[in-house]
Amino acid sequence: MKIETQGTCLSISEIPELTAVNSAQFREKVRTALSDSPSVIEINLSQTRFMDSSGLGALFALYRATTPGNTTVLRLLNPIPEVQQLLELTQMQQLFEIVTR
Amino acid sequence: MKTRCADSIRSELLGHFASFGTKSGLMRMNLHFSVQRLASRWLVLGSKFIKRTVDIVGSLACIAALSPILLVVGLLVRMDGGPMIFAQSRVGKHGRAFKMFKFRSMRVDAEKRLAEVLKDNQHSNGITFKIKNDPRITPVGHYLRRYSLDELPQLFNVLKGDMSLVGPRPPVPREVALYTLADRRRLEVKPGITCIWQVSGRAEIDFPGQVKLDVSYIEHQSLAQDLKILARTPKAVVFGSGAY
Amino acid sequence: MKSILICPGSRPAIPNLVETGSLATLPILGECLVNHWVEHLAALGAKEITIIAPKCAELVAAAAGDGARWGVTLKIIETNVEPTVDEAISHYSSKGAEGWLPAPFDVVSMNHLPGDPALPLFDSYASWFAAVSAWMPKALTPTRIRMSEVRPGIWLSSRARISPNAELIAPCWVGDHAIVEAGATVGPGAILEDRAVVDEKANVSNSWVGPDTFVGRMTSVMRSLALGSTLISWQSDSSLRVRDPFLLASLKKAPEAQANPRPVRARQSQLGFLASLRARLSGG
Repeated sequence: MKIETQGTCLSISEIPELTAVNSAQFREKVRTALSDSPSVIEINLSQTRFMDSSGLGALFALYRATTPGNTTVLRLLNPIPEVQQLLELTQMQQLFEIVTR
Repeated sequence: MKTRCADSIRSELLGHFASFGTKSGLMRMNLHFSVQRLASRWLVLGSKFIKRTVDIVGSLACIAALSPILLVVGLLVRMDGGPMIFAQSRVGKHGRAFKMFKFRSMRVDAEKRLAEVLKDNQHSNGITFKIKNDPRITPVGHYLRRYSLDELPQLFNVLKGDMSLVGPRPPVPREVALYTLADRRRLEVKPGITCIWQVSGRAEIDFPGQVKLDVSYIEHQSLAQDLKILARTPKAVVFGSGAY
Repeated sequence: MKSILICPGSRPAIPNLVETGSLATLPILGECLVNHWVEHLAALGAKEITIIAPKCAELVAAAAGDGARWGVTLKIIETNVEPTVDEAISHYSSKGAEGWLPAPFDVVSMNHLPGDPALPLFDSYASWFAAVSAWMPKALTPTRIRMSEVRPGIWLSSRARISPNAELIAPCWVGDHAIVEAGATVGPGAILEDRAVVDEKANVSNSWVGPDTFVGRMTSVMRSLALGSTLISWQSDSSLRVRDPFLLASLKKAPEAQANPRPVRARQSQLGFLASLRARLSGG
């Protein structure tokens, strides 16, 4: 998993999966990166093969950590079709902007 | 109005998503799924299970309570030398044939006389068959039919599972061969000893009327409906309404 | 009158449509394809129907029986491959045109529903959904019981359980023993097969929910086919195996069989207890 900060944009990429196995680890790493208060957070899902409810829970925790009062933009980039299906099934577009670039 | 709806949806979603991240939240949701699964299984299997249980308990109870009558009738039928039970081929659920048990009420050569008697058929459509003063019936048989005592052995069909206590009456294969596809709707459930048109007027109802009532029974089949029909059966039988 | 029915064999365009079984016995609007055709041919006067079943004879026999239900005689022949119409004629029909239903019902390759030859079922997931949706008004055939069009475009089974708070938008179909919980929205363009459950506040639109399929609370099934825990988008042709039963699952299999391959321990033991309880209640 790669975490980069470019200006006020926090970019997380190279995530092979977001499931019960690594969701706790994901949350930890992202939480420390949030201390810089980025205005835009982009999660690149192009390499994420698997996602389940734990992964969604981690994404939700990220949403929770950034929303109170904040105007942080949250984006999910280039999810693979199967992950896109999961995001649509669980209506994640209500929380995150889902973008294909 | 629309934004308020969207906001309330959003806040419900947030509450819902909160469970995704915690072990207890996930456990709660999986538990909810298991409960829903049980509930839907019960909805599907429960009514069938109850009907079968009522059939078994009810038929055993009736057989026990009526055993003296069954014995006496059986012996009376045997008196003319012929067999006690007549196992007639009838059509059950989904068109499957089964042997329906009755006390024999016809002379031993009855089926042979069928053709000559068909021309006296009082049901005009030629599918169902009933005539007054059928010459093939034995004296004992006449009395048995008046009070439907010949039908009693069907309690064993119910116990076996071919039939239910309540359901559309099982037709003979000869009748079914002439059915239209729409008529076949009455074969969608297990046939019964007593049915809705028997307690509303017995054999006086013509064939289209029977099908209509049977389909109405099938579409609204429930334990309550079955019990109501069972409650009205003894009266309909005793007053022999419609039985020739 | 005689006729031949050819069951579909493999269809590479739609691999995930069949969980167990065959395309011929997949339930469509409450009855499988074979049964829809047998009834249609019986209505046209067929008395003897030969069914050619490539690798699915047992399943077809379980579904259609011996044909007594429709007053016809069925002969089910197991083959290895699906024959073409011409091959079927040369192998399985007797010489001469007498005693056969008039074309095109003498030999039918079941690639479409009766009456809709222009709507192929198996070209793609999207074409399957289009064909099934278009057939809704025709599904109430003479032998159909319990289904009725309660309002224009809304077909309900008399045994469906629909919460008074649920919303049904035409066109939609709610099958036998299906459950729609409070706050759910079914439709437009939604088909719930027999015993499907749509949980509270879920949304199903322009989608088909297969038999015994559970659509979880607050989920949104759109432009998809949901069969057990498999979600197929007919728009993008993508298929997802959902790992969390409370999102999408089969109500037939035990939850352990569908759960995340590396489940949390506590959840596992709790589910195990419920599974044994369930097994005991349903008599094994």
